[in-house]
Amino acid sequence: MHDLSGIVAYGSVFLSLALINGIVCLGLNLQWGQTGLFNVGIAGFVGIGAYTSALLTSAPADGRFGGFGWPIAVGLIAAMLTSGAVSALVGAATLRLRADYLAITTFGVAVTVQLVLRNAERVTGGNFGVSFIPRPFASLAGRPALFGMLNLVLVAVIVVVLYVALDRLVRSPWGRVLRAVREDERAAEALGKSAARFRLQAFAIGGAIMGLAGAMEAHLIGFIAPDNFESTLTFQIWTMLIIGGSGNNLGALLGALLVATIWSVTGLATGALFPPEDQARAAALRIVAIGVLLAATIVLRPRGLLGERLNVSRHLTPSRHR
Amino acid sequence: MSEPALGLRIRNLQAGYERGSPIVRGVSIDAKRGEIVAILGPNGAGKSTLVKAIAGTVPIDSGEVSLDEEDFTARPAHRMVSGGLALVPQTDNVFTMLSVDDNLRIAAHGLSTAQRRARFTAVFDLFPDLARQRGLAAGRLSGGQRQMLAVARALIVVPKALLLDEPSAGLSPKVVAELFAKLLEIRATGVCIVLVEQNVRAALTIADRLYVLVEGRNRLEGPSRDLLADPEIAALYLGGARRAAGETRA
Amino acid sequence: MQFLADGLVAGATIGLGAVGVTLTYSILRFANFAHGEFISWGCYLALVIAGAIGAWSSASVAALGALSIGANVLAAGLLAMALTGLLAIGLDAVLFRRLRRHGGSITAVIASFGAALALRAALEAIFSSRPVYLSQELQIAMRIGGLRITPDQLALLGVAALLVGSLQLLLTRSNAGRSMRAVSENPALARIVGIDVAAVIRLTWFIGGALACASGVMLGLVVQIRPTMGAELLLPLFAAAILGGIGSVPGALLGGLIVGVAEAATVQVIGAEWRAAVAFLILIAVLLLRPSGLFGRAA
Repeated sequence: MHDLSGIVAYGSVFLSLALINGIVCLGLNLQWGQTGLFNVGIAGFVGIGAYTSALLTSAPADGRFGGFGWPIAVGLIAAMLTSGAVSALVGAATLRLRADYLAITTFGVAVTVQLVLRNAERVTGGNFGVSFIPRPFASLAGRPALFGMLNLVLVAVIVVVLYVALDRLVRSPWGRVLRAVREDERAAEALGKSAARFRLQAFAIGGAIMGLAGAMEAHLIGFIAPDNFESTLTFQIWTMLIIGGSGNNLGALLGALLVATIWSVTGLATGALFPPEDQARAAALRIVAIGVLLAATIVLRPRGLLGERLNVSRHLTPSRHR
Repeated sequence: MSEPALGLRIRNLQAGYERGSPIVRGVSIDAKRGEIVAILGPNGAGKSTLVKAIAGTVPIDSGEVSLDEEDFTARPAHRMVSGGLALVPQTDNVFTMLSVDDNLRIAAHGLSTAQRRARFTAVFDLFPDLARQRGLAAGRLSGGQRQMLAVARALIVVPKALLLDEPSAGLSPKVVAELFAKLLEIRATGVCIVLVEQNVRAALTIADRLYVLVEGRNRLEGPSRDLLADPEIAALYLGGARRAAGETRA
Repeated sequence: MQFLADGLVAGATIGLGAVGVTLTYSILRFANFAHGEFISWGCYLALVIAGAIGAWSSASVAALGALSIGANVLAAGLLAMALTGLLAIGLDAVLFRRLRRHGGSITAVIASFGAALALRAALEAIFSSRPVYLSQELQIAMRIGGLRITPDQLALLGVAALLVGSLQLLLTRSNAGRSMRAVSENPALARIVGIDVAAVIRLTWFIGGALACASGVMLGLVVQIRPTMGAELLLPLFAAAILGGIGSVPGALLGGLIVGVAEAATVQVIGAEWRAAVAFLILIAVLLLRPSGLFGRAA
């Protein structure tokens, strides 16, 4: 950190990434906190959105699909559509099954998405990823502080819009039915509401939000690769949601900020404390720390910082005996 | 002159699924060895919760449980059987995916091979139908046979006290009569039997003494012969529960 | 048809892990995402112990008969199985036991996911990602009937059959096994009939961990040993367990064999890169067509 401009640039990128992770948390919160659906394949849905937007908006590359150079906004919308569609497909196949099976299936989706990203080189660019993804305010890239701030403002605006939209959605008649379905499925069905349909819609919308976040990150960094979408990401998002408080959108954002901060600070610490040849192993230690943090939170304070009790409807706890 | 206090003794028991909101609010019961005690009362009176608390599956807030003068109040649920206290729950009382034989062998874990064989013989003498169905999965038995199996399982370790939670539920009158006849045979071996029942008529055919619980507390008690003639019991079961609840408690 | 032998051995490896998963799933009632890490840890423990034994007694390193490994690896494997079993019990004591009181199965799954990443990262921190090998010798395949198989592979299949067979005997004929089946069906009733459910749970974890270690050692004999080796097996494990029917030990082994052979066939026909997708396709097919699996109880 030499000068103020450098700090502002770094800080705004950090905050932007934290907020983007927060968007993923918002999507997960809709699936889990509001609807009780257990998604362990978050990285896959984020990756689908990221690659969709990247491939559609970037410049052409030899031997690889895409590169249509479309506007970023179109890319973002397309990302939401593809992630939402895949979520709907996965949901249609598995939502009627027990929650553990949904977890395993979404996990499988993430593994398969990774596989496709790495191996379908003609479509995704394989392990090399997709480069030269257009960035918002690209003309100002030479002025890092301003560039960073503008992107941060853009991300923040999207977060606010999303937050408000989700808030209204939850308070709307649709949201009320969703809550009713979560609390007592049989009663809701008696009123003529198809529980499966509402859960599917919630799952799809949540997935679309995750795809949006993936696309936003692609455009912020300008480069994506399969490595970005591994189970570490899924795990980080869950940690953020649980520490911040699931069921609570504000908690989701707070958790994202907190975990991102811890991740960065530990990154700086290991960078300073460990010699270069040990960096990979030091990174592993950071993951251990986050893993322990997640486990400790679940055991000691399951409601997280801001959340309600870890909400699980009766139908999701087959192990409980009266 | 004090009698030998052999049998089940419950004093001022308070118990409930959640601490602080007890369903059983100070119940006292005595059931001597070789005696059948029936616990009656309207729905929600806490009869089921009472036997579950005695058997250790519902937490006890205060009070005492003792069997043959040994304190059982703090005993963990899975050690009840080894102490001589066996519970036959109302529902899900056999392992449907295990064979009849396996259901019984589970109860016999602590016994030596010779002891096990002896107990099996004794139990199959009492329930000859079960002997014929040893290899069958318990889930394929009829409701009545499952109930017999549940009782047989409880008898394997020669309990001192046998608790039954609404054993007649869902059974035809003929099967209930058969089951209750078995209980009489079991009583003859010196076991103390505590029977929670909604089916008052059936319970009255074999019970030596009755307790009536209302809203978690003792309401009436005494030899069944005396109480049979009592109009208040009739009142309690013909809509008088509302009236009884309004009366002051003894 | 070398690939068939490869597929069977891979399948036995997956099957051993799947048996552990199906046991913990049916008795503890949650999908344990940390099971893959038991596999990795088991293999690394065996590696370290084998190295220690080999250093202490150079005779133990000599290859046994037609096999490519020495007595040190065998002894290390047995010891590591016990240690991994204890690791599993330890993880339960520290983490899952507390969740049983309060949460449902979902909190346990999230926690297992976190534990998995912590365990995997711990291996990376301790050993780094440098690949290692349990056995460096190449083997000549023999012909048995129409099958081409190496002595190592034959031995591994035998060991897997022995382990699973013993477990099935334990479950059907012993008191401990009956208790496990009882707890799997109805823990509350099990308590009432006098079963120490906590002890049954500890036994379940021990068996699951030990079998995962066996799976890991088998895997380590065939592929590079890396911290992620067990995690990469997780999806095939779940697919095999669900294919076989949750709660069925023979089903899990059979499911593992099917997944293993299907993967090997895919490698043969399509290419090695797409191997991992096979497990996912099998999983989806089972969940769509017959969620209770081959031998499981219909939901």
